[in-house]
Amino acid sequence: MRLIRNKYLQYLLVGVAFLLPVLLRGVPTATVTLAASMVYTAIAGLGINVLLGYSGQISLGHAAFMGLSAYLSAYLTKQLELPFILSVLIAVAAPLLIGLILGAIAVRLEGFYLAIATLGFGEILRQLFIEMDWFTGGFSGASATYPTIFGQTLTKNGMYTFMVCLLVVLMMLVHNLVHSSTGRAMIAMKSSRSAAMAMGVNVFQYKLISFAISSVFAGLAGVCYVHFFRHVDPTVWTAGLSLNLIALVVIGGAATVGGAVVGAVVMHGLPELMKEMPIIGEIPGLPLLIVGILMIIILIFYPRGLIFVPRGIIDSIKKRFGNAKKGEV
Amino acid sequence: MVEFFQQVVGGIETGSMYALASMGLVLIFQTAKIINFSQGTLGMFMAYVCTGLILELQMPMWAAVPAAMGIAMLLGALIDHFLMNSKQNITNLSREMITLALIMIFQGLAPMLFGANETPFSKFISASALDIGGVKILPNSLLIIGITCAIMATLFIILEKTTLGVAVRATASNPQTARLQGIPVKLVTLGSWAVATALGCLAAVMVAPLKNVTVSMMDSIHLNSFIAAVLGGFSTFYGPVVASFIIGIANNLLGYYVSTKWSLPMLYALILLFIVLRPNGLFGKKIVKKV
Repeated sequence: MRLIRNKYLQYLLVGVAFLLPVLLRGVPTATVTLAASMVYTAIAGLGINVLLGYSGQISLGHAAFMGLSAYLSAYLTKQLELPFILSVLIAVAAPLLIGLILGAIAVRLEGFYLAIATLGFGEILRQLFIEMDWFTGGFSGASATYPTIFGQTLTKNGMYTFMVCLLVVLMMLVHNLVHSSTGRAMIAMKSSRSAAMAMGVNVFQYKLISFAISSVFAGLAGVCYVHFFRHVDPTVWTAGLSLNLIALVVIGGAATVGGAVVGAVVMHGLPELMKEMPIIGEIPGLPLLIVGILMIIILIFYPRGLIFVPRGIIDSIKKRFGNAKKGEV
Repeated sequence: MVEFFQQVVGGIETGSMYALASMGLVLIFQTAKIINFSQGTLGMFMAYVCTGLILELQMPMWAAVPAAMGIAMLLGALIDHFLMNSKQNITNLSREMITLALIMIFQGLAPMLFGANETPFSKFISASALDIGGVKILPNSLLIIGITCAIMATLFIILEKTTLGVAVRATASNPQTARLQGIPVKLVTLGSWAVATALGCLAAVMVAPLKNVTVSMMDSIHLNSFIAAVLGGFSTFYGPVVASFIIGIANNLLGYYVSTKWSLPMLYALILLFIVLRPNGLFGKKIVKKV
């Protein structure tokens, strides 16, 4: 029991579960593609969770950060033929820098003003993606290849495995972060800014840190996207994606490490599942409608997030079991 | 100079649509303290309903638009009653995510009920342009601007001069205190949702002749109404309306004198800079939180 409670082991198990489509034989490649989109959104969602769930700030510009990294990585590996690791570092450094600038702005802005400011920023970036066609390929987009790491060129499954490993490592890092003094300071800042300041928490510094971390995660997610799907175009990086990232964090469970992963699986899995259904999938619009309704049901009945559902069930069973015992006595 | 005024008039016309949409956003934000992300999508859906009323039920335009606005009010009230107030223990963030789910629901419903094809939508008045000192103005644009101004004036008179307005403003400033004073806070938010959805519907019907009725027709209006609400300041009712007109006009002028491609990014950058310098918008007041 104690071993199962170990968080690192749980994260590893999540990783193994994600690797099943690659390990098992006879799984269609479409499943791997679907799982890959779950993994890259989960990575970005982890970052959003640090920003929103733990430090209580909203950003609607992170989809554009993902796009920026995706384009940069595609450009650096393909046009400049830099090694993969180096181009990843550069591609992630760019959103980090922008994230720091936005974080500095965020100190002055609260709640919705911050949300819309980041939204405007994201739209500017997206317009740049469309117009700077020497760099991004304009509307038709840019292409990339599977990366070469230490002389090994990855296959599709190899790239997927790499993404899953990255996700597991990032989950562990977030776990460590939120259990450190930095994490505690962020949580304090979320529950009450004034109280946190009174306790000596440097709000400016921690807002910057949370923005920086979430930007780096968004960047990594963008890099994963471009090297898995090997193509990137500006239609993906809209404010709608940023909103979806926030939605999956809330649905999965804000301020939990696993929440973003659960949310990403549900938000990507449900629409695909609905499209595959025999009758539902054939009527245009119906899958979207059902996902919307399910989302509302989840939000109303599990306001803390899906990740608390198993615990809720165990608690209710325990309660019933306990009552039965009392009845016997 | 004629061209300048031509651009300004065009800006006022698009600004009117932004103003209607952002007024809806602010009404809900002030009374219910949430951002309604589905405002644009609800408007889109109601534009489909309005086309349905005209094409299927053969209703004339002057009857179909008010009818659609009536349905929109009902829809808004239903959403508030069944989804927003269903449970007390969900956070405002969760409520905002519910509005996000509403986007999916209505984007799914629209093609199911009305088909996936683009539908053209005729103008209110199809008369040719008037020439006022060289500036060409379509009577339809005049009507749009006129309706918007009339609605804004009515709303402001209600908000400032009537008991109902006092109830809305009291709810906006503090729901708990308002409830203690005997103000039916739930009814006020219900009414705000109803009026806001109707305003979104009207904005969509005004956009419809320009863009046809499609699922994505309201995207840019919705985005700009957000930006207008922030530029004007979420804490006032008139700020976002003024900012809507500023954005409409500035976008047109930047597009004409600088660059069509870059007008919107430049405008956003300017607004971003402005918000950083004045974090509460043009007219917003800083609300100092007491511990």
